[in-house]
Amino acid sequence: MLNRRVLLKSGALAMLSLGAGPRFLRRLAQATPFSSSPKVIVPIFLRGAMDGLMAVPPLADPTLRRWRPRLAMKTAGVGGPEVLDLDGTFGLHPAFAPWEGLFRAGQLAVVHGVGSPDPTRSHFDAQDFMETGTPGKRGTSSGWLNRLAAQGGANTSPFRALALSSELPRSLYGKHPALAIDDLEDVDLLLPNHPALADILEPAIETLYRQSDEDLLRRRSRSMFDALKLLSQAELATYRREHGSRYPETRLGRSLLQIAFLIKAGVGLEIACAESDGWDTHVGQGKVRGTFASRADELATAVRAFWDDIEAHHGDVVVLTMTEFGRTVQENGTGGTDHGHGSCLFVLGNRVDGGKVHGKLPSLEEENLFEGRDLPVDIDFRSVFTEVAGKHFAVADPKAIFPGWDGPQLPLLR
Amino acid sequence: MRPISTLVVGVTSCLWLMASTPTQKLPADQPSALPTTGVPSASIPSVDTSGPEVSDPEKGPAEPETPWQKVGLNERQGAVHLLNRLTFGPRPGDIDRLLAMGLDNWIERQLLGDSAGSILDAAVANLPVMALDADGLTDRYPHHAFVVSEAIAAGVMKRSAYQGHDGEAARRRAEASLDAFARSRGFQPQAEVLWQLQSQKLYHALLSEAQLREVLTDFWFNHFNVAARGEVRAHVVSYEDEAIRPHVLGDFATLLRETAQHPAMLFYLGNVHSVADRHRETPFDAVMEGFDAFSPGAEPGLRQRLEKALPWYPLDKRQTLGKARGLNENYARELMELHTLGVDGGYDQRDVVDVARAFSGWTVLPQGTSQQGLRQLLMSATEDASLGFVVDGEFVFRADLHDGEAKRVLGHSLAPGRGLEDGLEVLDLVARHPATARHLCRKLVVRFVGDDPSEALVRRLAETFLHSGGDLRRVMEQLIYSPEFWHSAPQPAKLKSPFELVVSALRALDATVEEPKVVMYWVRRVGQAAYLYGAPTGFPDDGESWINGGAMLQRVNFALALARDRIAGVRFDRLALLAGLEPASLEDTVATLMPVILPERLPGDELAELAGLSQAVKEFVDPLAGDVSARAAALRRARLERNTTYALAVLFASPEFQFR
Repeated sequence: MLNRRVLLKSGALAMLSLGAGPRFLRRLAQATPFSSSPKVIVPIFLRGAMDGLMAVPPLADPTLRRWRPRLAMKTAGVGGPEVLDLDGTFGLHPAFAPWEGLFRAGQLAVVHGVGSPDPTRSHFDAQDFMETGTPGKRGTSSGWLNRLAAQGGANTSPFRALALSSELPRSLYGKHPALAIDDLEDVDLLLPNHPALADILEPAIETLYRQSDEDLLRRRSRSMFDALKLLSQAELATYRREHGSRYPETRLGRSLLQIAFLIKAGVGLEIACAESDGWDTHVGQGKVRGTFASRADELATAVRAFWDDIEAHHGDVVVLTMTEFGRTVQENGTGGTDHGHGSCLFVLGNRVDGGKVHGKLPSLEEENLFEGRDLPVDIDFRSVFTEVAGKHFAVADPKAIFPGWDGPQLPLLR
Repeated sequence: MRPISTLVVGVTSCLWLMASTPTQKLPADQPSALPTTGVPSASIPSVDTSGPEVSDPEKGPAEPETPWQKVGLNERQGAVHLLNRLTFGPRPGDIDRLLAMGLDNWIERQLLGDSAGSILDAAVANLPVMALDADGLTDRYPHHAFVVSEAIAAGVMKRSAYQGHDGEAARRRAEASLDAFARSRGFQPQAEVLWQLQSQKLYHALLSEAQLREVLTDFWFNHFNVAARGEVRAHVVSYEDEAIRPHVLGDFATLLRETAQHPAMLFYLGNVHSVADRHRETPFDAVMEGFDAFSPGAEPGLRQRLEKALPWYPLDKRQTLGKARGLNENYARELMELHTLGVDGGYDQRDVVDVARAFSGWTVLPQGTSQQGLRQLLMSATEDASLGFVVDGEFVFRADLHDGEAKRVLGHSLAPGRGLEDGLEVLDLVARHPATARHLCRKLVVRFVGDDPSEALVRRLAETFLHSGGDLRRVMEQLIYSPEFWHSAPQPAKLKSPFELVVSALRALDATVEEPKVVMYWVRRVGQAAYLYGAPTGFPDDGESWINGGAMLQRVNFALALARDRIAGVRFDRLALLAGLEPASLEDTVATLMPVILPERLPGDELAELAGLSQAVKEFVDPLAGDVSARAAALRRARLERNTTYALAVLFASPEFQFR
């Protein structure tokens, strides 16, 4: 406290003499040291419910074409198949082509028939359940990724748990500090050019928040001021992508580029959430082209660019997609699908037991479907999340990430 | 010197400590001859002589205590609480005006919600979209896809060229032709609609005297959220102005029906596309089965035309995706989950399907020149009431697309063979359902009282909602007079949304806004893209959601930009805020402006102390003191400007200003 007072005093006096040093020098001096862990998880939430049957369709189930006369893609026949053949049993939507190589190289795994045991078909409930990690239980105040962060060591970086979005996702709610930033380029204070005023304003505002009675504001502002100090050292503007990777010029592309930047900058990033919107394909879902294909193309291109860009870090990074539920097996009246139950997800990383489709689908006869209409959930999403996060970070007690759950882990990481 | 009122309210919270400063304004009902040395006159009225022990039997029956007195607030503090919670923030002079009117009268007037806002009308009238109805708006700011199809229909370009199948040169020519075509027809870019929509929201919040109505319009729009994208966009102006604003202090069932039948909602949740499954009998099928062209009274021409033409028009041609038909459950689900019952409201998937069936055929009249045939046909179908077609504005009920078979919703049977009544009955059923009452009242309590709602208050309001048949004015009145509302006063219980933050700062400065777009851009930066929230839940209404590291930064940046005059088109007189005073130091400037920007909150010197200033200021010796030269006067003025900028930045960026 004494130091702070002295600093403020000198700042105020400096205002009169107009003789303060550059602001960033002081920021550097104040930057909090943190012990960095090189392990990073990149969860990408596919909001709106991704159609798992379109992403990774069974190749030889004739019922699929009966349910979806306008949506099922050709798996063989004249002009060749429209879908990519993954393993003779499952195909991959052609828009995911940038991932084919990763699958063949054994880095990418598919988990099929995965989802929540809770039957809700409400986006908001299902996303909540998946992000809090407590299906069927509303009002869990913390998110599973925040509980994961809380299990870690002494990494005090403000970037340890980060979401590249304007709002903090539910999965990062909780006691552990987490930061939501839509775009790293916006992380700066609009301080006056007048150096003396700038020098007194920033610490004054910081002090106000640090002493605030409001717990929420105090916690969140601390992350903000720490992040400001760190970012002034690492320059996003001069960032160079590697290995010729080309990110799509979309929000997801930008998010993944900035995550790659932070990984390389070594600022203590461990959890980096990204968002992919627009999977709620009620209308005009399409086949090789259409709403679904454009979403899949953006996702696959962005993740592939990210993966190429961070080649030197492949041993430390794992990417995990998730979506709140799947979609109806039958197409609806408007060339789309409605809210369903089971879907599929993707895991990417060097230690991933890749090149495989984990899990199995029943034949799509009505009697095999959940409530006679949806893909059933064979694998609880928690058995995937515990496995991936738990093993990646070598968490001592992975069960603590999902309180009240005692299911098996799905072996996915070597 | 501590004012007397501190003793009365001191127990509630230090936040209510009165700041005693030379700039303290007097309420209008006090003689202006009172000494201006800082005793806040609000401490003079009966509050101080009464207090909690007022019910002394010897003095006879005491005046019934007001709800604010019961929690130890004086009139002035009560007025500030009302302005903080029920308006978009006090402007200079608002507190005195409210006190002059009396708190009860003010509340009554706000509950009536009449706005005689000539400044507002003038500001809004400058926005061209506000003068247009949905039709005119769609005509002038059409959806891009529509412009393309019109241009193709008019033969000015080919679709294949526009889509790039005929090469790059052809594509460029097609785009140039499209632009020229759009200009020749007077089409304006649709993005302009969004800007103007956001601008009118800002003007209403800044200028309307019916502040509670505007706060509630914000609340109910968010409750019945639509995102102004795609086909929805052109309809959002009338959605807010006609479906929401007139009903926020009225009957909930009316509000619900207005939203249900509005094109904005029908497009947004996809009900425009929801038609009866192929195997279901429609009421139109039923009528036509018994139709005999020679039967007396029949209007054979119309029926024959309909029978011939309608099967070819499953939907508006542009929206038609093959000839398939089927339900879209989206509206049905959100109606129950979000608009009425709440997610725990006791419905299941079968209810969702049957509600979707009840709303099948609720759609929008087709627009555009290529659709005139179908539009005319549907309009003429309403001439024969027995056919069951209904047109209301742009809403149309299509009997030929409605599932006319029996349904069961929430244990309630809907008889077969009906049309529009199916949906109307479902709306009635859910509008007066106890689960709806609880769900809505809880949301209102979260909005106006605090993020952790009192169950007792929710229950009482829900009872009023049910007994009054969903009278939203009575629910609000009970909420405002509830002890819980007043008990929440001392705590900073409600974090301002980004829109509330920005508007309250502009109101505190009495700023004029010439570039509403720029201001709304700031609202977006702080985390609220007005009219663009994608999910039907609307923006979350709790502090945890609004505040995170990134948003915090932009809140501080907004304060810095506003104080530094870096927001284009926002004008205010910073020195006028000082009311003629010339505080020499930064600390004094913060202390002087504190009661202007944050009335009845922390004393200014305490904030300066918290900001770590006072220590530094103790060293302060005014180098210009006593100097009467012109140069010294200019320096003093420059210093005053700079200090005011500094003080405003600290005040707007302060944690206290983030709360209402």
